[in-house]
Amino acid sequence: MNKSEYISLVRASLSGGNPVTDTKGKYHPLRIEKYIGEVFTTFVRLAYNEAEVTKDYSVLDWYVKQYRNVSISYDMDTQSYYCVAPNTVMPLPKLAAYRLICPMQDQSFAFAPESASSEAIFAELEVSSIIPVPSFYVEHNKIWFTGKMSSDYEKVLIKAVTRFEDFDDEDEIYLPMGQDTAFFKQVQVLVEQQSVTPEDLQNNNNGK
Amino acid sequence: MNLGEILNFCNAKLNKDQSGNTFSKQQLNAVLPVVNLEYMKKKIGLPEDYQLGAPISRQAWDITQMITQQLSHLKVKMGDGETQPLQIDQYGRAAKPSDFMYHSALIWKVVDKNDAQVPGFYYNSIEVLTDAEYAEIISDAIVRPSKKYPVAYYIGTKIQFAPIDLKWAIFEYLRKPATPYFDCDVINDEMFYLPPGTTRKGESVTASATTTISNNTIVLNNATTEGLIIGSAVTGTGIPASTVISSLPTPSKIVLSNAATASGTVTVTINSANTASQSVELDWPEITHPDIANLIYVLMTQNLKDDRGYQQGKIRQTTGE
Repeated sequence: MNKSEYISLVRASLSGGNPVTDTKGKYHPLRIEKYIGEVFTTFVRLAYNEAEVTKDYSVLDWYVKQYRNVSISYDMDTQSYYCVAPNTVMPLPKLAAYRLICPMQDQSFAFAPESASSEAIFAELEVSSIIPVPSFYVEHNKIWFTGKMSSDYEKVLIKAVTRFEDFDDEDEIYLPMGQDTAFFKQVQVLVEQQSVTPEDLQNNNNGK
Repeated sequence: MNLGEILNFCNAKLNKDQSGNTFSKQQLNAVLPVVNLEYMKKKIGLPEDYQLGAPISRQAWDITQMITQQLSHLKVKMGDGETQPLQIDQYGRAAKPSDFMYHSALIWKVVDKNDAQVPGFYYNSIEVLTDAEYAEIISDAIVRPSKKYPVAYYIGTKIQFAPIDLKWAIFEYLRKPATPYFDCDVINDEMFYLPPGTTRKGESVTASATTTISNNTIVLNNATTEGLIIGSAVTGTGIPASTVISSLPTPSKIVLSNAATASGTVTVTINSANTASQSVELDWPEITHPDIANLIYVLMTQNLKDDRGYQQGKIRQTTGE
């Protein structure tokens, strides 16, 4: 199923059939997208947990989206290279959401992930002078490059585990096999919580 | 059923036509536009049916296929390929069509590109909001109006869209049903219905009128224009041959097709023979005609001292049988 189909299916199930325009007030596709996104995040996290156990992180690749030609900038104050991170990348532990950062045309030259505080340690190690690949760490919405980074790299390719909202309408969305029903139930529970509190406290002939 | 048959039905049910007619032509034509709109109101949804917190009518537009079919002949689609879509101006406003009666749907064609930058399109509905909802949604972080999810609200004679640069939209609405009109020949004080497309046998009346030379308008002295038919032949001293009534602007003035050739008080003869029927039939499917006949019947019975007919009519409105 692609993203639009997921949203449509949830809307239809909540509306009890073909949704009419008025139901947008309650089940707006953009809000449903957010709710699906919340549950999707949970399921990706479960996939990550499974990967931690099996050490097979390729399970995360089902949720990867490519960001091409991401421009690298230079910060004069810190004299560091950085790029703006796609803001919908999931904050998985160990930077596992960043499946690959590399020069645009060389996917074998993968940049090495590290934490922001580890740069001081790596700088003192011999390994940092031997290994030719740049490293990167993430701070909020920026990816900072360290180590062997230079102005030779103008644009990078980023493959990252992204949130549901960042997929295009026609993009296929994969769920962990066998968990589709649980996924939908969780979305429905979230959306239906909206109506626990009466929405309309005014007698204004408006049923929404 | 045509209007003549409906009137006959009402008269028969009321059993009050011994003297000729329960309703005069004028009374019936005063009632018909009201009944026409009342029936429309009932079918699109009576607000009087609403319960507190449940604004749903027993009958409402599109609530069942039955209602949809009964009103489908009144549905107008702007932008179906043969008709122009609703044009939206630079301020995001579109004029409501002059025959607009009730909203059905607004649709917007979303033009998008896929990852390969190939343009495509799909349709999305435009949500119609109240003012209060619009005030909230316009600043909502998630569902604020966008070209993918536009919104609209009604204001005055216009529909306001957001975002404002949509340019056009597909609009489906229910138009106002044609106003029915009962036209008839009156012969010996008895009404004979004239279906649309027929001509009247007509009758001849005489009246005193004042003419003015070279003027098309004559003024009736001791009569009114009530009952006169446009197109009727007018003869008299100082009135050229083949003169007919062009219009009836006031209850005492008649505008002729030719100017009078003399001034003075003359006796004119007005003959409505062979003028075309002005009848307009009900703009409703035949299956609904009994319901409309009952509405007319209820209004007729309200004139009577005995209210049994009125009670029966009201019961018929509720039970539908």
